[in-house]
Amino acid sequence: MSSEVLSIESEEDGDRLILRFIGEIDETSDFSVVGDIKKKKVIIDLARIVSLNSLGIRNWVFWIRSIPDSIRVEFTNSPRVVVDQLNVLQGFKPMDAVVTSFELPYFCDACGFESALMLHRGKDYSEGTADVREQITYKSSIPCTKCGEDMEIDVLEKKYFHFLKYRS
Amino acid sequence: MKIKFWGVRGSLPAPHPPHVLREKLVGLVDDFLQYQKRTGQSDIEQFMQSIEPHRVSGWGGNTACVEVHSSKQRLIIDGGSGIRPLGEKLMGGPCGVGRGEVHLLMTHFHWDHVIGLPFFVPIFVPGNKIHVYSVQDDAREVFETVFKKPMFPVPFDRLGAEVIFHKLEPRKPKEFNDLKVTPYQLDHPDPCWGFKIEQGNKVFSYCVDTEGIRVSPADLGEDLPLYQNVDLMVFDAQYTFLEAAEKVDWGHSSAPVGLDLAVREGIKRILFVHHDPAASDDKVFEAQKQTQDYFSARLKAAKAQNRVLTPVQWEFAREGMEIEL
Repeated sequence: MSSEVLSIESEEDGDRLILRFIGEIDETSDFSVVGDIKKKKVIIDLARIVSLNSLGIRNWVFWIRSIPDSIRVEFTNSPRVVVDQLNVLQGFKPMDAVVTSFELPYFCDACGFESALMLHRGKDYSEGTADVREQITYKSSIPCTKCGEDMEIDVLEKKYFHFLKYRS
Repeated sequence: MKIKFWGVRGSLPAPHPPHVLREKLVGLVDDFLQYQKRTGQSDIEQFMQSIEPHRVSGWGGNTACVEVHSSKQRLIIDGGSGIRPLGEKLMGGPCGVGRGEVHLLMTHFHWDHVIGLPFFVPIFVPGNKIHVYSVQDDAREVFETVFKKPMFPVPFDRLGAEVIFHKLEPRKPKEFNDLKVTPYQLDHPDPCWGFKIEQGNKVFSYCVDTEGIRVSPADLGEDLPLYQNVDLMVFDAQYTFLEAAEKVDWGHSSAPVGLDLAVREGIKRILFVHHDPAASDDKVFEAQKQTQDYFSARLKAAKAQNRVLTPVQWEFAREGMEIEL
């Protein structure tokens, strides 16, 4: 099984540091290349993560916990592989970090085409709090861009949206 | 090669207190009544088979002790509290008449791996020979400390059996009849050595206790063979993934880490042991479910990339379990 070594692209934008993670998060991933973060906010763009395993996520947890509390951490463009592990491996996302967008996968039974819609925090969903349940609005089906039939959601919603629940 | 688990708990023996047994019993009776209502069946054995085993008998409360044997040789790994019932079994053979020879491999000397030694009856029987093998140099001192007043009334020099200490060389195989044992270092706060045990083309790896800090082939270096060409690996999964990430340098790992090592190295089967003594039966079961969810997500992701993950058979071990390779 060939692996796609993780690379991290970095871009400064005013008071934000944007980090684009590309490839696989595994035991060979080196997060120390990010260095000290001196911005008020760090945007972690996960769109191009293709896979991740616990050996890599453990190093990720150590790295992300080293970011000072004063810096706001946001996960953006989270693909399904990331959401699946957000739901299973607690600690992958620090309690006070925010998921600002994530993909909702769809599948066309008629032609086998796969697609995804990006859901955005504030517009499509909000996380649960101690007092308020999580809120989420999404389309249960979308037209298939390949054959025109209806595409259905390709995940178990209850499990997939679990990470939006309030965790004390 | 047959492997039997006499103790799968970590850190400290964890027997079920009476109120927990009572709660279990109440839950089972309640479930049985519902089962009867639902199916019209009254067969208790069938009902027992329809529910998760941990709900009936738990995972076991004794600490580390594993018996490995072939038709020619028996080895014991570690002297946790599980060695007490194993000792009782051995007393039914040559050990009971002072003609027994026991071969005990020690991974390390933390309490949960030595706590059963003073209750291992064959060690008190004159004529028996207890061979103790370790990479560490101080096995004799440890035994002299364990069998010492005021912790234990019978001092080491008054034990009936002859206790003989043997030094194992790191990463050098030692033959025990048809079993070949090679020690490799694990990641633990005090030196701890796992064992790779081979019989012909069958390979068993005992990787307990370990935090699994070194996981990449480069980091594992000369200890990588412990995880290679293995049919059955026993791995330390004392904690959930998050707990293990929080308990840095506590020396224990989680099931997803063992699973990923197995997938990468092509290990065929894993049993997870060293269950946290603070974890209830349900909590260990939850950790097993979390591992299932984790692995399902890994399989799904691999499929989406048109990759195939090495198939791995895995489960959380229960005391009394027996495996034949």
